Amino acid sequence: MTRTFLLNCGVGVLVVSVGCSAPAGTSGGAAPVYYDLASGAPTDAVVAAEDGTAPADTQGAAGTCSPCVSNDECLAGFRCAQAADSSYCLAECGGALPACQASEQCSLVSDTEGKQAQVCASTIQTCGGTPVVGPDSGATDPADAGVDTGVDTGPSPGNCAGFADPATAACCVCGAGKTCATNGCYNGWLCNLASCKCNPAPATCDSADASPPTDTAAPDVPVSNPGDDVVDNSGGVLSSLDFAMVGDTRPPTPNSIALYPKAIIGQIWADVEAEAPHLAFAMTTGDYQFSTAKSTSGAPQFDLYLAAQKAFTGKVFYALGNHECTGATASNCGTGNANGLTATYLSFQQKLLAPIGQTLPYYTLNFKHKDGKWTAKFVVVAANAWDGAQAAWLDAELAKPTTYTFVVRHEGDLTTEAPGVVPSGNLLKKYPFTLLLAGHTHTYEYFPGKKEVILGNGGAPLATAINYGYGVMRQHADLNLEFNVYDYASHAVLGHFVVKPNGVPVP
Amino acid sequence: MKKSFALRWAAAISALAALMACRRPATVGTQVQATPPVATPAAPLAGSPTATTAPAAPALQVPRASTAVAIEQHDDDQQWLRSVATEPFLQPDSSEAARPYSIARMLWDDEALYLSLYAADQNIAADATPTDSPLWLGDAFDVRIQGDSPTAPVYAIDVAPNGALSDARIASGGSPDRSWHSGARLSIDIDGSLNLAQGEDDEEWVAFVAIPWKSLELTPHAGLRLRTRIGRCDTLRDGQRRCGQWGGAIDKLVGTVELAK
Repeated sequence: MTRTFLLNCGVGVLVVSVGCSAPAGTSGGAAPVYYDLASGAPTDAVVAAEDGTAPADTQGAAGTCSPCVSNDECLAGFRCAQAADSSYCLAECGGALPACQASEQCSLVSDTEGKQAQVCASTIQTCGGTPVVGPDSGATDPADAGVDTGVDTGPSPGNCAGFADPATAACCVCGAGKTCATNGCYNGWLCNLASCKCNPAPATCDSADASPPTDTAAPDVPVSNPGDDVVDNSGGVLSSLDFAMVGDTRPPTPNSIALYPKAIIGQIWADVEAEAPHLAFAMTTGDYQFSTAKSTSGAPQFDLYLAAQKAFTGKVFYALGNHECTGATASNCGTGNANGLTATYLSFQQKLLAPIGQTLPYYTLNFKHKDGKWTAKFVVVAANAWDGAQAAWLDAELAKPTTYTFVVRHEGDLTTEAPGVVPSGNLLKKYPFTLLLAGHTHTYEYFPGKKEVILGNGGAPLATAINYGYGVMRQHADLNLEFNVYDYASHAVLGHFVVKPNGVPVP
Repeated sequence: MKKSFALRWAAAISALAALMACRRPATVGTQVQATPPVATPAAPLAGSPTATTAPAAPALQVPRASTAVAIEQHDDDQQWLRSVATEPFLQPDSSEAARPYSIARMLWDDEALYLSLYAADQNIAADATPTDSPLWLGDAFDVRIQGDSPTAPVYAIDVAPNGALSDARIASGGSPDRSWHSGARLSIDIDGSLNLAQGEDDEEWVAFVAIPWKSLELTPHAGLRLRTRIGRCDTLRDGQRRCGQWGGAIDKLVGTVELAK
């Protein structure tokens, strides 16, 4: 499938093909202006942050231009609303509220709760500049600092958790007119993977106990369940092979914070949390957000997703969807691939993969029974980051014998334009497996003949009559697996089947 | 999934009536939204149900675009982030969410009313292409706009995922005048394939429509209110016909769109 564009200008229909989105733009822009919260006036005192970030004394203030994901994070008199491709606390206006600045206009917007609000409009323009997320990268011009303005690798920063060194591709965006190193920074600065802003190397960088600044590169904290189940970043030891499955949680329109389905996602994860016996882990199948090539709205959408997912206390594992590349089903991300390292792809790595200890979008999880009765592997395939290395890895992983083999891949067998679907499908034909767990299509479907489950009704706009929901796999004493799909609102069973460890349906 | 459109207009109009099984006229007094609409409800339009007789009808305050609105290259157009969205469409005569999912977003400026019509769709299909074909028999959106008077003419614009457009002016108590042309500009963004082979999966299609105020015989200004109804029908892969709507039934426009500053 491709993304197609048709125009009707009143005299007929013109078909224009729209190619895959290009990698994220690398241009910068004007630095954001910060406002005195008392007077509302712009103030030089808080514009002085060298890396484009708010200075320390305003970073915690949830006033004008403070990034946010909900109104709770904003001061009274401010609403968390989308501006450009992210969301910020914006001063309310209209009625008896104080008037906007002379250069501003009181405008109607939708806040992140989906409610309309009137806020000062020029604030939107100011906050909405790309440098909020992609700052100018250094305090001084490299040329002025006597630094080679060629490909700038700068001084060696050493090994620094939570930061990307100059030679490592990361989410920082090079400032306009600058010549940056691979990490998007210059002058040897590091890219802070939590903020996507360039910083000098912290003094603790070479220290073995240097701690990461955020939950990225988080330590592998095993999740323990009643019954001695333990799940960590590589798999775990279980008393029963029980897990949840949730797929496709993106909003309907690109770059939209207001339409992000966080209420639905939160309810689904609360339902999963309430499953009894409690589930130790869950597999998700991709498309956690919807942002376009020039946008940096992917990161705040991942934050919304993660906030909604917190209702579940078990471990969650992630698969790359086409919307974590460019959005096009045919897109292919990753170093050396056609679409390269898009901002969304890098955000996916930073926000979802890093906390589960993964650097690549394809990986294997190995589980075993606490008494050795069975083994299971989950092979997570990235069909939108497909290359020869992944093919070789998949071939080797599938060759390892286990009682159960689950292949987790965003696209199902029918979505053949995703670059990795056909080649990974060909490898699957060589080896036994239990089930292919997929999403992409926003519904639930089970194809027993192909041993394939499609579950993409996790909050993304529904394509069929099937309601939002989630799946739960539970192991029987005879080692057969029972899968039920539940409606998130009524908990009605939307689908049900039982299979043997080799995936053959049990009548 | 080929459909025949060799229907004569008389038959097509009859079929439209039959289609009310999908777009059954809602009793105004029972029109219910599952959740409050996104917008602050405006005061009811003349002749509309009031709070004393029925739950609030859906209402939107539509922001004014600050710069030109992109219809053809919308993906990164910041103007669409300023737009207001309807609640997800409801099933006809019901407070239940419609499936497949549909929403509409709106903007306005001095030239036109802009709509972005989103349709989740597992099998995007459309055959009819001549102007004013009976698109409503296939997969299509149906937009109905009326001035703030129950006797004002209703303007009907249908759009299909193949870029076809059908429009009509319906005078109060009259039948559709298909000689009227909206002059609307339309672009369609398809994520998937139009009329693809059975068994493959599509994701969605979006219609971007610019309806000139001139053709609606209206002068745009902040505070202008329009009776509005937007519906969408789809034929599922199994042949089931599914419809959804915002703003009431096809012959009872109870949605309110008010132009904001």
